[in-house]
Amino acid sequence: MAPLAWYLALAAGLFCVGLYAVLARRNVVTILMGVVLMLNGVLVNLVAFWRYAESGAADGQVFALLVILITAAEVLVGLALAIAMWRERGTAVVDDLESLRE
Amino acid sequence: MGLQQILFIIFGTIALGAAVAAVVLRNAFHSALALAGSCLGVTGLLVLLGAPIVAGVQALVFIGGIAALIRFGPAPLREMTRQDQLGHNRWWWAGVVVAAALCAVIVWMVFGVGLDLAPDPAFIPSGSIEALGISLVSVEGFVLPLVVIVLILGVALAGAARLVRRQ
Repeated sequence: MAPLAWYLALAAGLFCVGLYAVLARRNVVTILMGVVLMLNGVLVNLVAFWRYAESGAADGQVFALLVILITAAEVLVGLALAIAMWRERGTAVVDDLESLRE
Repeated sequence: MGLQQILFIIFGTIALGAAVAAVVLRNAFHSALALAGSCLGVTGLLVLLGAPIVAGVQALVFIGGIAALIRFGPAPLREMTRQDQLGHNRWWWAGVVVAAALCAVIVWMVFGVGLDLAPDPAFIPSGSIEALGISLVSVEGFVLPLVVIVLILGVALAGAARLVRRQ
């Protein structure tokens, strides 16, 4: 089996690619895709630690399932907000939405 | 190098390569396809780790739900990902620096600490599925957090439908 460090390094890579999307992209949909990638990295971490440290219990798998469900809820609300924003302002670029700063 | 390690390299390359493609590509359709490919790679990794139920739920939610929703969802979503709405902001280089530095620090720590955890040789995937099922329905297990999360998901669904509904 591959060493635990390989899984953790891969999860770090996924998380950082998602972080780049959140920091550098302009479109709210692509930013949400970045958040999904970050949570994929978290998921790999959780399951890898469960498998290598505590595979007798089901805790790690349960936490992973809860993370998946929370991600689904978060993306649903995020996309709905983005659609509402599009209808209200006609833009999906986050740089154009500065009203909260005023 | 064993079969599991070769499979790890294959699935890891798919997951990471498709993730980079998803955030770099300028075409929204290609980007959503790459996101689905990355999720597929992660699904393979989860199966390798002996968590087939988590892998199945992950594939259903992320590939079947989110990637399909982004690409084939309601008309406003397709309009929102037009070419003129995409692209990077002017601080994109700062994003590269922050993400690369964080990744380098984490990888350095992971390999520097020298984790000596070894997988349990007596692990049986079917046993873990049974333990997961019992844990999800047992009062001493995680039935309460699961109910709370399902309620949150239901409220999020209702709220999203209310937000999207035309006035």
